[in-house]
Amino acid sequence: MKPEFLKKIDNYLLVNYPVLWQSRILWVGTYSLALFALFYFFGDRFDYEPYENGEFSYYYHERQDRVMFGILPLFLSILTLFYWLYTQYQQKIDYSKLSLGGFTATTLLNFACVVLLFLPAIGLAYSTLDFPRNLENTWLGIQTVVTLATAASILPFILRQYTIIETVLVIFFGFVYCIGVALVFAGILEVKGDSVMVTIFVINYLAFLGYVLVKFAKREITQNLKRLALLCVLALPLVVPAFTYYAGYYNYRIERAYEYALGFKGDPFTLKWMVLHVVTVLTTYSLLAYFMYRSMVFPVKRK
Amino acid sequence: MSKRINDRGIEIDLLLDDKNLPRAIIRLLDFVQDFSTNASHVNAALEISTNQKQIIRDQESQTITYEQALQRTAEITQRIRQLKQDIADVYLLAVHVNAENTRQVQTETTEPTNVAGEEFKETMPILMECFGLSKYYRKSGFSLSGIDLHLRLGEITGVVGENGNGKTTLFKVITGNLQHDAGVIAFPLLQKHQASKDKVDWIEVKSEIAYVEQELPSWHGTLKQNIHLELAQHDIKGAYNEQNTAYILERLGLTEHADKKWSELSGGYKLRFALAKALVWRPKLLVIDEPLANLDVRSQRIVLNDLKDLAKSAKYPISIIISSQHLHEIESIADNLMFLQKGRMVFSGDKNNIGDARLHNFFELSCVLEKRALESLLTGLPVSEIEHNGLSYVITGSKELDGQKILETLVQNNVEVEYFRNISNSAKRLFL
Repeated sequence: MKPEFLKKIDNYLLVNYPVLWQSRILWVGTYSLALFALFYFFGDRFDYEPYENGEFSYYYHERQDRVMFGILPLFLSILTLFYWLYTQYQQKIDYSKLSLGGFTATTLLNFACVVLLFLPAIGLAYSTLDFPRNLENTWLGIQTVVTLATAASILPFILRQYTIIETVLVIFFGFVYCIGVALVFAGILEVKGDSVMVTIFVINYLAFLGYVLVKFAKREITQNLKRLALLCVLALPLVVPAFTYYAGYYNYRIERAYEYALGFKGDPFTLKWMVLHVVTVLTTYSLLAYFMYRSMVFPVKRK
Repeated sequence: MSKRINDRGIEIDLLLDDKNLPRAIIRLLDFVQDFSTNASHVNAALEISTNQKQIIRDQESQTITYEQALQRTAEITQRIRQLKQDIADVYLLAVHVNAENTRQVQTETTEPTNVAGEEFKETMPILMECFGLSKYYRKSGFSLSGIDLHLRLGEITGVVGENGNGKTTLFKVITGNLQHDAGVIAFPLLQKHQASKDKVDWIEVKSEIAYVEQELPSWHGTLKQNIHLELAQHDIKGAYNEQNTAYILERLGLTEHADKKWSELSGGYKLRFALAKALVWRPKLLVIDEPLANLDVRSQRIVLNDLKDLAKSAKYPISIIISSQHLHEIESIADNLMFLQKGRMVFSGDKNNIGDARLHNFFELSCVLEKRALESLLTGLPVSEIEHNGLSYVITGSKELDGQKILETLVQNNVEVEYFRNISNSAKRLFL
């Protein structure tokens, strides 16, 4: 279902602005904004209004609403995000001639696509959820997902270095490793306190990241190193809140730093969240993408 | 300068005289690309090509009579001659007023072999050179070693050798996908800011190299979209993008398949698409790994002809390095050959020099005779050994052994010869 005039614009982007075309922002923007408008203005028509259904029905239907209009659309948005990543995997784009500014702009462009993909969910939740607590919980859920999804902004640069199964396995073994570390330190060595455990993870992360960066700088790149680099890149949104804690934000309370960043608690979509957790991550991603992509253009060592 | 355009014009005339219209149109498209910067000339050539294909379609569907087809073909022939003449007039005028652009002047100094012949060969600039290149795989124990190679603009280099002898490894090293362990590799023509000879700026170098891998990667979208994208990524945008896309699709016979997807194309067309994608932005080095592996004989001929024509383009000459098991086909288009055996370079250089230092002559023969009968027939000739390799006989003899004498002997004895070839100077003897 592609209108002719949009096809023409798409072709224009393809012929003149390949990076813009590759981001699929035309299609993501068009369909997301159209669905947002549809849900925002007409979403309420799908929903029972509380004042029409009496007290029992009020609570009953509102509980159903959270699932129907909050969690399910968010889940669908996550699926569209994976589809968008798949479209990024399909074409091989040569970014090697981009300057650092170009990498920054493309990272922001990718993040814009990520945000646009969640617009329909936001529109539907805003329009249909009448119970303020339901709405707040949904916002917080969306903030959590968007915070973690900032990682998708860098993936188009590096995704084609891995097979799909390789990417899945890297994430899986990343989890396994983290659980292993937690078991060793908290379970066997009986290390107490959230902030200490987080610091152990952060030191571990920095050691890995440092190793990756040094190896990339020396052009000693192997496929295993690339996998470790992917893990570091994906974990960045989870590490940044720790630094806000070290910097003294959130009254030096580690759990608060994570609660506010990932939306488990607090005001959703605040400027503080935007600056500390989105802008920081995206800026770091721009630098990493510039450095890593250009390093990966050089020959790979293979044993 | 004018000799080159005249020679190319004569080539087209001869093809037209032979009534080889498809080939004449292909060479016309090359002619336009090489000698004209006028978009209307390109469009006119594309229109001629389209019209000629329409005539064939009309003939096949019998919507036109044989006489009508002949008349329209004659018109096309006339248009080709006229367009060729128009381009030549403008080109020669431009030469006279010294209005050629820098790139044309640059390529004049790198006179292609099809025009100038051997005397210009050494003047072609070296695009890539490597000395003592080695790569060792610790896991498998395989090593590629002692590779010395020069690639020059406008030349085709064929790399031959049995499977698993290091051809793909060599290509991966040349294209900057695999780090070599020892030796030096340099790209004098591709690296403008060369800090040191053993330090390659792969970002700059890779932007001039196209690599067509043995396993063609699948792509998304239509064939035409992918060509547009490839051009746009190489900063060829807007109207030039559209024009170049139309040109390469027509040149490689892909216009009718422009809107097809990967899954809708046959193996031959997939390879032609890969070539179109590789050639459309005019790289200086094209690396192709086993392109003929899954092609039928006709597709092989088309692909090889295209490579030969495009490598020796007057305006945008490219260096091509190609690997294949099809020795005869590769020899027919290559200027230089490299033979790899167990990861070592057995031969590298001008294909005409193969076997120069040989002590024997070698012939391949296929006939119905049994080995003993053949031996008794060739008794009087200086034959030292006759061996059957499963498909044909390989006759080894002293350097005095003449192929004509073998054939004469066989014909005089009424032996039906199915196949005969002197392989003394062929890469095939390296496989013996």
